Amino acid sequence: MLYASQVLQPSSSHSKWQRDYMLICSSPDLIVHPLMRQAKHATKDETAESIAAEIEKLLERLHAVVIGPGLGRDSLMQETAAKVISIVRKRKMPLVLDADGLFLVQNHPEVIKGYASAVLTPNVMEFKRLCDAVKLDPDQVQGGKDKVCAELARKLEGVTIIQKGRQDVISNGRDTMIVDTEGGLKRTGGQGDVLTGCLVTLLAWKKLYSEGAWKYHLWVNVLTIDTISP
Amino acid sequence: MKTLQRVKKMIPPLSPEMHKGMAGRIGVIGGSEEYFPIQSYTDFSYTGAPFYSCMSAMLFGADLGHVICEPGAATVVKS
Repeated sequence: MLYASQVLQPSSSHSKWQRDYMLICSSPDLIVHPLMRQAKHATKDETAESIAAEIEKLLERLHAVVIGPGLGRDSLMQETAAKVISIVRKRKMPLVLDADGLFLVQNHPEVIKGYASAVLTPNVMEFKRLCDAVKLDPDQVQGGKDKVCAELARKLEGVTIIQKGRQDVISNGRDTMIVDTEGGLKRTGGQGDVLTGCLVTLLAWKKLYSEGAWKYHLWVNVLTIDTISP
Repeated sequence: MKTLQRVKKMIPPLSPEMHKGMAGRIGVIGGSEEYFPIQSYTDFSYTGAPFYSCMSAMLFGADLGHVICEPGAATVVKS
């Protein structure tokens, strides 16, 4: 594990002011585990099973996971991801699938079928390919694109789909929501990754909240929360 | 609107009773070594993508963010 910021932080937080200031201004640091292997770099002992077993040890300490950003379409990476998804399902952890994680679902829809804690965030192209994977013809569904999204969620047996587009459609087959707030028109690389990051945090909070990890009424300042929103 | 109210309730409070990791420990699995196959530009993967995902999770309010990636991507994600 690599913690770079730990060296810096204690030395630079002498005063309380500085500490509070750092809380707001310092960028948080993430921990990197180079556990995954691409087929060309893997040694003989490194199979999808052995890598997934290593990752399982780490998953015990996590609340929610994203699978997919920059995963690539390498055979071993995809195979490992499939194994990790099965572990995640066994542990009933919330899961967000994006980018090349969706490529895996396109090829093997069964890995995610019926897992209600999973959220898929396809863009237009990925949505089309997902429809093909479950043999759903969008033109044959009556109604708007929200109906298509709901139908796809039903075909995947209760998985939540967030279809990104001009209007985002969110559906788990039972409930469907349309987000028609106007967004920016610039499309840059990494925007989808920011979405998955925010999503997975909310999913982790949901899990912790339902487990009763904190006593909400004790500490929360409801007034401040209410002033944030209009 | 009801959904938003419910989401608000899930946001963890800032309380002295909480310790590090109680407001969410996140894992991001992805991040392969950068490669650009010349024949198709749609096929390349973003090495830095897990960085954006994990960093936005932490900026959003999660306590700890773990990136699980290829050794080739680790240096890119870390720096």
